[in-house]
Parts: sequence; structure tokens; C-alpha cells
Amino acid sequence: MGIVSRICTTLAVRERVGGSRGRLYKVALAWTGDRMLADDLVQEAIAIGLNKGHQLRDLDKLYPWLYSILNNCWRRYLRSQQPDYGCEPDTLACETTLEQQVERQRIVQDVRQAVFRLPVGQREVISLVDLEGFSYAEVAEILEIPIGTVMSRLNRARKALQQALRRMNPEVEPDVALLRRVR
Amino acid sequence: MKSEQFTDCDLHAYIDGELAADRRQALLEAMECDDALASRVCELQRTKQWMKSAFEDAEPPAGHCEVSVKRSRWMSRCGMAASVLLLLAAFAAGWLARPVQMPDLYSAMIENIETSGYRVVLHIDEADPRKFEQVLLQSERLLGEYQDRGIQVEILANSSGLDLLRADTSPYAKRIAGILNRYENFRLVACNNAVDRLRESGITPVFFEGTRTDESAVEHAVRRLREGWSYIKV
Repeated sequence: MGIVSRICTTLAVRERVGGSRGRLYKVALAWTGDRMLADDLVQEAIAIGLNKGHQLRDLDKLYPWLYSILNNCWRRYLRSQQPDYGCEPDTLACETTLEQQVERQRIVQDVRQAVFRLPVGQREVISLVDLEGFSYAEVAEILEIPIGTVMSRLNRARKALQQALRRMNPEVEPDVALLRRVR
Repeated sequence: MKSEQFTDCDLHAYIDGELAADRRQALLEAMECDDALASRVCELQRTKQWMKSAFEDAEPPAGHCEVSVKRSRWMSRCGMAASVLLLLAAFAAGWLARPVQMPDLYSAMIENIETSGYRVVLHIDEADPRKFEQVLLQSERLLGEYQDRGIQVEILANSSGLDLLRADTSPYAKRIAGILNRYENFRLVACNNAVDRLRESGITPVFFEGTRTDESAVEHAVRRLREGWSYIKV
């Protein structure tokens, strides 16, 4: 590789990897349910990403590649925990403050709680599809699972979320305006 | 078209933009006259929207760069987080460049030898005897050939590369001791994070006299680069 093109690629990778903390954090939070742990994993993934930046040949694959690294960090963390490890719901969950907050914030908390209670595999898939907009094929590659597994986990995750949200918000009915938009 | 012809997977694929064009068109037409189907799609869409909005405002915790209990428990083992900013600086300086191929090691060492003021730091982060053999061989050659110019050579080791610099474990201990005796400008630097990790696991590493252990590998490499040294990752 020529010096100039190497410098250009290096600069581009550095800038994008270094600036991806906020983006990776959302998915990491959905996976871990713990703000500090999520940020630890993201920072570790970024450090590894910077260190292995030369392995990335196609800049368009930067984010799938970074999420594979994040997934490896997360897997390593899970392995280091007790076998019965289960993520505690985020500290946002608190009955007294819920009542004081506006409706949207309440739903945000409900959804997060419901997500954190999903099995790990389902949490991983739904966050990569919904928060990052990755295709099923990309998610399969990032998590190193078959595409059929991606689809079945997504199906189960959304069903579980729907049920959980219905339990938490029995008064919520399908939104007619949204129904029109969907059509 | 009947709604039964659409599986849950079809509906997920539709809201995720993964449904093939013909199926998508068929689904849209079916939804026009099938409220139950439209309602299923609507609810899935809403779940997706909820999921998005639940995390769209999530920001990394402010001030998390300071030591926290969780960080010291989990990250100290990985030794990574604290290095992020330094890595950024290091990256700018080019120290994370592609490792030099072994046959080219000596030519890489002498490539910028004059502009670096005859100062070279060689970084090894894995216990690869083949690489280390070359590092020692080419270092000796360099030290010999440029002795009259006051050449300075440092071997910087972290991660499992550290084992090669340890007087108690290195298969090259005798050879390293010999080079240290012959050349006063040959120095060894052990990453203090890697040393700390060994100590945490109950191992007290023994180093050759004069080995520096007061900086992390990244800190040392960045400092040397700032000072104008030539840095080579092997």
C-alpha cells in the first residue's frame, strides 16, 4: 500500500473509530443493561478497533466490523461471569420516579426494562436490527450465527417485547395514525 | 390475498425493509382490505419504534473516564480503556501501522535511521520466538554497524511479548544478557500494565538490570515518537 493511501485510510479509520463511542454505546446498553459496563465494553472495543485498524480493508464495513469486536468483548465478559449471571435491570427502573416523569420517559424505561429481560441472544439481534439498522445478513455475520437464527430470535424478541409492553401499558391501543402511516 | 399467507417472519422482514419487492407489494395490497393484518404490522412497527426511541437518547456516562469500581474490576484486567486517548494520539503518530514483515526488519530499522537521530524502538506484543530471534539478531547488527554514531536501540514488550524480556522465563536470557553487557545503548522496556497483571495473578517477574517498568507500552511508544525516535512494530 502506498504511503499516501495508507495515511488516508489510517486517518479515516482513526476518525470514525474514535468517534463511534456514542453510537456503539446505545447497542451496548441494550445488550448489557448496565451503563458503566456498556461504556467499558465500548471503550475496549474502540481500543481493539484502533489497534487492529490495519485489518480493515473496506471502510464501508467499519461498523459491522466494530460490532463484531464489541460482540467478542461482550462474550468474553459473559464468560468471565458466574454461569447464572443475569443482567440487573438498569438503575432507571424506580417506581417513585416513574410516577413523576412524563409519559414518553415512562415508556422509554418500560421498553428498556423489557429489553433487559430478554434472553441475551434476542437482545443482541433486536438491538442491531432496530438501533443500528443492520440487515439480517449483516447481523448474522456480526454475531456469527445463521440468518435463520437471526430471524427467529427477532421474532421471539419482538413478541416478548409486545407482551411485556402490553402488561405494563394495558391501556395502550394500536395507534390509528401510525396504522395509516404504515399503510 | 389472505393474511394467513403472510408469516410473522414476512411481517418482520417487511418492517425491516428485508421483504422482497413482489412480496412487499402483495402485503401492501392485502393490508388494504385486511384490518387484522394491518394491525399486526402496525403493532410490530410500533414495537420497533419503541425500541428505537428507548435508546436514541442514551449517552455514555459523563466522567466515566475516572476510576470506577466496575472499571477497576473488569477493565484493569483488559488494560484497555485508559489507553483509548493515548491510542488515538498514537494512531496519529502512526505507531499502529501494519507490523513489519520479518525479512524487511533490518531495512525498516535503517530506513529513517538518520532522521531519527539513530534511535530505534522495537515493539513486540506476542511470544513469538521466530520474531524475537530476528529482533535480537537485527538489533545486534544495528548496534554493531552504527556504534560510532551513538545508536540507541530499545525493545519494548507488552502482553505475552513480555515473557521474552523476563530473565526468569525468556529462552533468550543468556543472549539478552550478552547484548546488554556489550552495548550500553541497548535497553529493555516492559509495559507496566502487563507487569501489574502478572503480579495480580501471583507471578513476580524478574527482569534484567536496568529494564524500565514505569510506563505502559503505549505511553512509552508515544513518548519516543514525540522525541523523534523511529518506531517499529514487529
